[in-house]
Amino acid sequence: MSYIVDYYEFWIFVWLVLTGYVAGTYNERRHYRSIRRREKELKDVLAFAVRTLPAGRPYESARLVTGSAVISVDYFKSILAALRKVIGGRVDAYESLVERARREAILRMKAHAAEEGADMIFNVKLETTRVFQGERSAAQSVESLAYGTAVKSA
Amino acid sequence: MILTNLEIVPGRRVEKHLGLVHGSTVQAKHLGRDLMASLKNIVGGELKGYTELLEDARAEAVERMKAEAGAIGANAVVNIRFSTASITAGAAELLAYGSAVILAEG
Amino acid sequence: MGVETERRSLKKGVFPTYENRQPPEGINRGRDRPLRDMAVLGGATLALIAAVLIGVYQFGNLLAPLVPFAWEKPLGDGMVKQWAKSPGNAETGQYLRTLTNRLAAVMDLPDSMTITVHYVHGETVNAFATLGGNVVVFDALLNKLPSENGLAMVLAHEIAHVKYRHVVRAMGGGILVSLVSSALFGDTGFAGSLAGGGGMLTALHLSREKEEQADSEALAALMAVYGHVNGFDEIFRLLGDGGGKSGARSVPVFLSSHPLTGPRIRRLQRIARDRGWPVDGEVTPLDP
Repeated sequence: MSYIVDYYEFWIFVWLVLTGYVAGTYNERRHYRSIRRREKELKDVLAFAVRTLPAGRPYESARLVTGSAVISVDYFKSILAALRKVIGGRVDAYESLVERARREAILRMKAHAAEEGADMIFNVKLETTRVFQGERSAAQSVESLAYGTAVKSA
Repeated sequence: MILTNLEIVPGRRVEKHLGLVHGSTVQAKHLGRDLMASLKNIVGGELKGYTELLEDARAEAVERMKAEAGAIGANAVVNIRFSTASITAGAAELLAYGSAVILAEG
Repeated sequence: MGVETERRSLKKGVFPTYENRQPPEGINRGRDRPLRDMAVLGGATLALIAAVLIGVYQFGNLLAPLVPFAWEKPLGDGMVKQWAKSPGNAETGQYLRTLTNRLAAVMDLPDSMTITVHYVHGETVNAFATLGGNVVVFDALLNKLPSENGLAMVLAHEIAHVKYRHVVRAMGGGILVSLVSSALFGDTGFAGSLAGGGGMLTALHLSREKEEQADSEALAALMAVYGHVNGFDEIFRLLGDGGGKSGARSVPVFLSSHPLTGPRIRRLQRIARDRGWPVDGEVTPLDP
């Protein structure tokens, strides 16, 4: 009994890890379901990394569209990543994190284009940034940004 | 699989544009390398360990991008770009992305 | 050139078509087995930390004996101050000092080394050696020991720890370990309290080999002073059965870090037999 009281910090840690695992896994699954659903909805907005527009067609408008998302890591994954950093190598725990952020950003960019009435996006560029750098205790999260030029064929 | 960061593949005609494909990986350095690097920071110069690490990771990202392109039936990726981002202290994301295309034969 | 190709295609009437194909899931995600990774990485990290700390401890162990005894002395004197606040009977203290000097005389200590014995009031049935040749003996121990020979065994054992610099070795290791662990984990937090809590003084844990070395040395001293080794096992018998029963306050700390009582007695009996040291002889009663 006194052991539990003495090391309450340890038990808080265990509780955070467990909560992080359960809630983080649940959130991730829900997010992926939502991403897949919206990807189907927006499948008619096309995105390309090439800069040249299809030749021989007139265009009504060309407009910059952007989409971004900040996704935070859960406590369990941050511990997993911290442990990984001792040994080095691929950080599996964070790969799904950046993938979710990127797909979400691309989706928002496409939604933005759809709002503009456009159906194609050219010269798409992707970027990832760490937010809240520096302090050790600060939340670990990544921002993904997707941008390109949306065109509407006349 | 033809990879290029030109808009086109010289001498080949693009038959189909298949859209954005990307490959990404998050890689961490390990404590030992960190230690060596902090020593190297005193005298400066190339951190060979880190260069290798990032090269390997970038190769992995390219492999993943190729896997995506291959899976959707492309035979080339054009206008490829790389980007490196720090995710947490000691871990970086390597990203490669481009436009998957089908080139006409010949 | 791109324009050329485009133009040529246009002339031929062949246009590239535009569509988006969704790549399959999972290419940009590594293996999804977080629990397994957690177990493997956690285990590997703990093993690494343990290995580092053990290495550091051994390093401290190696370096510590190089510290001159004279440096150790002021540290140890500071440490025993808290015990000296409640001294035991002065006459008994004098008797202890005399006995200690008789033992030290036959134990072949280095010239620079001096033993200072402190007789203090305390309910712990215990005696311990700390830095600077300081040996602390609690009056509860004297009250329980049947003879001077038993007491001499305890004193000689502690003097042997001083002679072989066991205390400074263990503390050197311990101090380095707490330095390194506080550098690794920070001063606060669970890990810090676990790693830094390996206390000083009485809680000092010496290895089995060091205890056995001190035992053998003490037995030889007993033989040299009394001409026989009778009474060497009194302390073990006392702590083996008597000490623990008289309540939680008098838990025999002396015993807690030491090898098991039975094998210890048998080992010393064997040594005595091999060297032809008589195990019976008249024991001297305690003076006070």
